[in-house]
Amino acid sequence: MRTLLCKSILANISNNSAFSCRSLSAATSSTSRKLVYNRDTGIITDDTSSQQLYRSIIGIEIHAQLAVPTKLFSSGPTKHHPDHNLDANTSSSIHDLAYPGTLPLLSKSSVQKALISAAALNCRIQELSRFERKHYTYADLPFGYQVTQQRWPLATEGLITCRRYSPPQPKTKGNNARNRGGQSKVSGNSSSQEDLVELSKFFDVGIDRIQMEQDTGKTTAVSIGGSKTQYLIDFNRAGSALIEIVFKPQIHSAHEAASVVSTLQSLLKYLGTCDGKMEEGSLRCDLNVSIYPISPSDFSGDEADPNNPFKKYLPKGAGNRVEVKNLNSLRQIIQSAEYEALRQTSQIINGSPTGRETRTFDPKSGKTIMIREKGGDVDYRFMPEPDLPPVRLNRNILGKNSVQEFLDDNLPELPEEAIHRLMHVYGISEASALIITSDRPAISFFVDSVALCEQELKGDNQIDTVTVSITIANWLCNDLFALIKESASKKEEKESLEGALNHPISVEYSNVSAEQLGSLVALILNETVSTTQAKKLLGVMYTEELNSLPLDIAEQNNWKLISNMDQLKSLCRDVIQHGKNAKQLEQYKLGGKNVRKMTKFFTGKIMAESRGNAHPELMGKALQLVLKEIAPGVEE
Amino acid sequence: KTKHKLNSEANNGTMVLNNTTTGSRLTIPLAEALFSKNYLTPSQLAKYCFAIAEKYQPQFNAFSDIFPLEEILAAAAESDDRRRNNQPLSCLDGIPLSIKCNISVKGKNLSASSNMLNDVVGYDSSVAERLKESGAILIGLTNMDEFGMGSLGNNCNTGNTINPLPYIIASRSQHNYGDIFLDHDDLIKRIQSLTLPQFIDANDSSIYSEGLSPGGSSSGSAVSVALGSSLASIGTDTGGSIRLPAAFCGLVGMKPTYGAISRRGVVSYASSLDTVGIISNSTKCASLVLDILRNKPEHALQDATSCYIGPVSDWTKSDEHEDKLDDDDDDEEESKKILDNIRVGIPAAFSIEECPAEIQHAWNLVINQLEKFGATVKIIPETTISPSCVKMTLPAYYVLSCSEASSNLARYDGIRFGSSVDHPNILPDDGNLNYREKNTARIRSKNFGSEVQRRILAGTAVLSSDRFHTYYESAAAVRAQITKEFNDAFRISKERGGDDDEGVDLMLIPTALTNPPTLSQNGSPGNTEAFLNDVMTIPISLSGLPSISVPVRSNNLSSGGTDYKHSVVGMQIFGPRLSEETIMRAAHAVESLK
Repeated sequence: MRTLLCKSILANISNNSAFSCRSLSAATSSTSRKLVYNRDTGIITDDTSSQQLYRSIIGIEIHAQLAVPTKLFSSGPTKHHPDHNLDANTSSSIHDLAYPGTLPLLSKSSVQKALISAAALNCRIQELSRFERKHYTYADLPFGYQVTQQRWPLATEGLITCRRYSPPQPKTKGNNARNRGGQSKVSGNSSSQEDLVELSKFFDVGIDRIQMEQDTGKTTAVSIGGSKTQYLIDFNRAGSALIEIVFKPQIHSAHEAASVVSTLQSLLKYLGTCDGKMEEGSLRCDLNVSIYPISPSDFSGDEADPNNPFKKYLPKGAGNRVEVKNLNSLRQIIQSAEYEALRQTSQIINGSPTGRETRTFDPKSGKTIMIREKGGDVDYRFMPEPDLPPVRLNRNILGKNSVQEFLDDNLPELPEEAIHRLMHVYGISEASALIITSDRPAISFFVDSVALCEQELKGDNQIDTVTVSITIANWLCNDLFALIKESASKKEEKESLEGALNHPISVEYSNVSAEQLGSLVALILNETVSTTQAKKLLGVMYTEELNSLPLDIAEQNNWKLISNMDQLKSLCRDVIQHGKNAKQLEQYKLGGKNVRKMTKFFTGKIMAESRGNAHPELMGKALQLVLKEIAPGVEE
Repeated sequence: KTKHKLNSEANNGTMVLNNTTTGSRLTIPLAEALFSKNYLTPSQLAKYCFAIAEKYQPQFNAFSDIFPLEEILAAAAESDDRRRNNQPLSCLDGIPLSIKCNISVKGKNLSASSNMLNDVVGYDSSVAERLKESGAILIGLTNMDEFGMGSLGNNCNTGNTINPLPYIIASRSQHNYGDIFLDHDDLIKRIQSLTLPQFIDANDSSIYSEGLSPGGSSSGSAVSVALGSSLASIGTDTGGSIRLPAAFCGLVGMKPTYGAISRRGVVSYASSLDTVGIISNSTKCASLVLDILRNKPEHALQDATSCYIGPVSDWTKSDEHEDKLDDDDDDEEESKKILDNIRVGIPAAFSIEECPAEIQHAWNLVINQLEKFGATVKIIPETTISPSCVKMTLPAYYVLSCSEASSNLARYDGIRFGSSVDHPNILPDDGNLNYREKNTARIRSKNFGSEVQRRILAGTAVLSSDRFHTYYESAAAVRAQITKEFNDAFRISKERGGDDDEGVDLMLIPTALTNPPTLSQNGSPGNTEAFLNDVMTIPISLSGLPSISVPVRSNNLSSGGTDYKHSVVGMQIFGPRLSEETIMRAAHAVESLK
């Protein structure tokens, strides 16, 4: 069963990702060489000769919309405001529209969320940062400049530890896709040479900077007949608070790029600083892709792109970087990185290496398309923002005396720490820990459930913490999340946008409390109820009797296991000695293979008679005893 | 207390007139006193001011919008009730004021005298909110140099604004019946009977065939106060835009510390310099208005560059000071006290060769006056405030203000502001632009005046990446240097250092070094002449310091001459940040100069 909780995280459960190779014919009219790109290693291979030619090297810039109810510099509502309006041009204050005379006032909660994000990404926090104006003209940029942080950003020199991404495996019957890569360390199966590149489960990527800035409005092109296009501008988004996270070019492949984005997405969602919805544009991604020769001898000697500020991170011989803007899904990131790597390689092969370019990704064709060449760079005419004093992370902004004090109170346990704790303190599987930590409130929900369950089982030495934890984790990750998901998508289908959920899939919206789940699992473990009964109980608690204790519901509905031996024996006697079953009893008495056959028959009848409530193992024992009593001496 | 005073004056049968260098004029404390004695109602005064505004609009072009009379009278009627019940909202309740048209007022065109903003309807700025809470009566919005760019009042989308001072002065001598009233009975009678001041018609005038500049950019504000259509006007000062028109029109012009009055609702020209201030008939008027407008801790933070100055008008309520200043001159021993312990510096760097003799003379008069009131006057040597640095402030100012202007005006991209362009070929060569860029270029070319376009281009150039370090950053360094030199000269910094012997509390320099230039029909006067004036106001603006320009009569008028030239000059008193109260007291002492 696949929970839709977080696709990317689930996809990561598979530690040992198989190499997935996509061979795109990068052949142009002048060459017939077929190139293959390995999405895991980033290596571009000549398919015919199996020769490794180039490897991609990627930097990422991510724009994450902060989950705050008002704009960065005004009280205009964002999509996180309870009263926000989705209709175009309804959610802007006059400041967001650059009405003359309006002035910016910095949103404290935006700074706080930016700070929490930066701290979680292990950045060096700058207690004094400054805003600057970046000038360019576009119809959806109301001021003619974007307020951003260029020379004095909020945070610098961070690090993210990423779980290696592997794409969701296609599900085929009778084939466990997860184990396809085998148990050993990832190894190349398309070329033995790929052993040179070792892919560990985790990898680190450096962060150059995190800066706060304003979002723009949104332009939509509408065809109005003929070749004419009308551009519609919606300023609702204009002025929303963004953080731009600039990663160093230390990413080698399409899947690594996706891992960075997916890890960051989960982290920001976990922190509550960004909702991470790429499809809604809450998280947008620009890639800087270049390639470098695998063999240093292929390096011609001409340095490309000497002004690249990240030059020092790039391997020798790296070509010009090409920026691919506004990618809105992991799939687009993977596709565009791959397309660029192959395109740039074939350009070199064809003798016309790529220049510095800005491109966009066309999801229909799966190709990148050039927007502009960077020969004449846009001059942004940066200028200090005179309407805003420097940002000092002081009591006025943080409500605390120091950054440390603020973070002590506001930076939660990070997901990887939580995963480690859940696995090692509670003994649950990594898969469960990943699911639980992907919904931060689920962590304390889980911990509370375990505590309550153990309390209810007090005195039962047979059941240890690990058993309790694993059982709770299974019920939480499978059954309860399924119910939450169902209720999230069921309600108000007409009103919400297509595909939008009524509420997020989070235990925050669960109708069943941690206490209820703990107590339910206690009933399972002390064999008061069966698994089947427990499922029914959970359903009733979730949809009908919201505040009832599972034991009460079980008793009302008589959904309790019969474990009393006398009771079970009398149940068995009643069935075996019932006139309807006389024939079968006679058959049993014949012995031999009839014994097993008829025991099975009686088991079924007794279970039906008990409406499924008989404790299976104990009932089996009781049946043996009763049969021996009624028909002694029958041999198998 | 003012009330009491008027009463006693009335009993004596003498009316103590507030003497400004241009004559006895209606001030805010006097109007308030007349209200509270029920000699006059806010409605009567508002009607009178409205009538002046209407009558002289064609000649002097002070207003971009005179509000409808019924609207003015509706507000005045409410003031009447409050005054009658002795429950005024503030000392400004019922006082007619005007506002520069780059300050937003709800429902009124926020034009900044630019065609680009012809269709923009204002909201209430912080200034408008404070004024409405105070019960002041707004007569209208005043003309200005477009977006504040200019210092002559000739870059305005509705034509030049003309300086009325020569006509006012000429009228006084010829008719003895200009704007000067004889006593309070005369004043009341004139207001109630709507007997407007008679000035020589500019068109008939043999005095000047061409209009004189009122100074800018708050040109209409100064003219409206000079004519008597408002008792004070709210303007803005970026590099001298309040002080220069006040000096040219013989008025008091107060530019407080940068940020003392919130800029929220003020159309930005150069954000780091733009300062809201007041043009009025007297220092007391300016103090009272500033006290209403200044940011106070009880208000929510209005903009991120706001600061808090303390109360500035308490001294106006003190009878002690009143007596010292307004009673006859014989009581000089008494007068000495009010500036006791105040040290006034004369920065040698500002004493330049080009300074005309008349202005030098006025400077000396003021020095004597300050000393008479107990101040110690000393020269600040060129080693503390260097002439080279002062000279550099002029180019620095233009680099910084044009940079900020080019940025602040980038929002007028033709999509949300500016009327569309009918003639597609307004630009000769825009072939390589896309549709949007063409549209933007055409609308900006059509709707911005030439001075605005020049400054945008200059600002865009100096912000380009290859010039930023050489121009912008050098200019910022000059700004930091002049600020440091000023601060080194002030006593506050000396106190911090424990040495109290050197520092001064205030400084005194002229506001302008020239007469108001004539506004010829063909083009503006030479730029260098304008620059000469800028050098007196700009260094103070760059440092964000509070400064007041007070009018000082120079000798030729006092000897009965009618020649306007150099009859009135503006002298500037400025101090460290937040020193408004001290500045006001010293300026008041200068005002009493006879």
